[in-house]
Amino acid sequence: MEVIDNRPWNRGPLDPGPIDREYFEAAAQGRLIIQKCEDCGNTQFPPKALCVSCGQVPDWIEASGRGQVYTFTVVRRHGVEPFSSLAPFVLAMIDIPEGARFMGNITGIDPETIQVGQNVEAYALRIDETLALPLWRPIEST
Amino acid sequence: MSREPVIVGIGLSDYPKAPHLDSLMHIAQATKRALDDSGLTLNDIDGFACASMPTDPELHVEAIEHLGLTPRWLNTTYTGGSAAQFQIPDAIAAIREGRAETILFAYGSDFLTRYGRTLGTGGLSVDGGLSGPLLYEQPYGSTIATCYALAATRHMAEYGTRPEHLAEIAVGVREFAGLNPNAMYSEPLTVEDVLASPMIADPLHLLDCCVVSDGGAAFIITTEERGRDLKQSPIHVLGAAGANSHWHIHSMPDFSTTAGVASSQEAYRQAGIGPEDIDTVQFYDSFTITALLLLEDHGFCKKGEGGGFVEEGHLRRGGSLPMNTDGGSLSSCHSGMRGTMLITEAVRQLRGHGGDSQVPDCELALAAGCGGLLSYIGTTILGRDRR
Repeated sequence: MEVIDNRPWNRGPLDPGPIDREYFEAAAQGRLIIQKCEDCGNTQFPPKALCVSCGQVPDWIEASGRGQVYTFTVVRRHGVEPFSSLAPFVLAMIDIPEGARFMGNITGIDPETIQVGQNVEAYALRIDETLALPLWRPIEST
Repeated sequence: MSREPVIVGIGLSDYPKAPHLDSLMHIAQATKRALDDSGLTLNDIDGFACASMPTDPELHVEAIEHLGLTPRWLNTTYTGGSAAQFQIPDAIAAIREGRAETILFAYGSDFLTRYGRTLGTGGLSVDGGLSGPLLYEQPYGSTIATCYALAATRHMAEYGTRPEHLAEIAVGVREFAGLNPNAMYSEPLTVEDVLASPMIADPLHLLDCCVVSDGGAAFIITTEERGRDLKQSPIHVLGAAGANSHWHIHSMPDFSTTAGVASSQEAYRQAGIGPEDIDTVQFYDSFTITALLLLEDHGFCKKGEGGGFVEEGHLRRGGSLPMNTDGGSLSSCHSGMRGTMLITEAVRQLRGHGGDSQVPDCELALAAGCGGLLSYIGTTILGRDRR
């Protein structure tokens, strides 16, 4: 996925632990990753140190970065910056075929036209030298 | 000697705005009023149920100290707004088994005085660097309101539910608030008013969202035998169960169905009744969509048909299933975790003390709490008579 480098990060400090850090580091390298357990086949997101299904240490797999809108809202009022200035913005749940559901913002679309089922692809917003935050934007088809 | 559980006292602290009280004093005041209502004293209390919110993490032990209790049964289970509903099953088991004689439930919060009205739109965001599961929500601007909005959008997409349906819930609750002199808002509302109020997070308007208030509540459960010679007609606890599906909204399996399906089935089984027998419901109405999902998941209509059911006016004053007869959290009082107030209002109705809001021939009431983000649903069924 594309990593956007030229927008200043203003969404507050992140202090991820070691497992979470791997996810945000992969995003900074242009990869959207989720966990898959080799022992039981379970996929999981958000990442955890152990498989929620069988308790083994899961592996990472790279997702295609494409998904569909499961549900969404257009945030019109927010009590905290920068989100109060960003409003209206789209907050959505995105399902990916690899078997995970993400929360994320969908940008590059008129908020009044977004629909459940909309096809989207991931991109990443750089946080600092090593971390980036995945976001989503519309595409024509998966 | 019957050890079947009955509710014998209820009390509310000053609300909706009470700058003279902190959270602990809300508990103290509501407790005093529940004791006076019942004719019991603190010396009678040997069990205590109280959940502390993250904003008052030691409130339960501070309350025990303040009240001077030495409970031999204690339950501080925290599940958000359904905490009371999750504590009741163990409380009634303790009463039946003799592990406690008389249990005090209490909740209180100075939410409005302390935090203002910003709870739902992000005012309680974490300071400092984010870590853990919120890393996957807060950098996207997630708030309590947006989580419920995501459920509402999904319900609309799956079942054709309309903003007018949700608005009707707020209108019906406001009608009852107009009969409650303490309610935060009491001016009559129309569906058009709701739809014309500012959009907070599509499809939820300002008037689809609950108030933020101060307030507390207490109630007392004891044995049927002990309840016989107290001041009020005892109200029977006929069924009580809780069920959960997730905690963070990103882990909710199905955004249009809650664990209320499971909690209500178990509560109905215990009570030996079904939804068709219920005379009034006290539903957690943090948002209009919360009440709609609870309505469907408690079997009052089929999944997806809640919008049409609401549109027919059943939940209104004079309808077949009057809802939130005190004005609910949408219009009257929401101080953070309202499950305790759902019980006190159900008891008031079953006693026939509802005044202008009284539901006629009220024999069976259902109270359903919702904690977290549609996460923990607890169902309590109360009856005027033993069944």
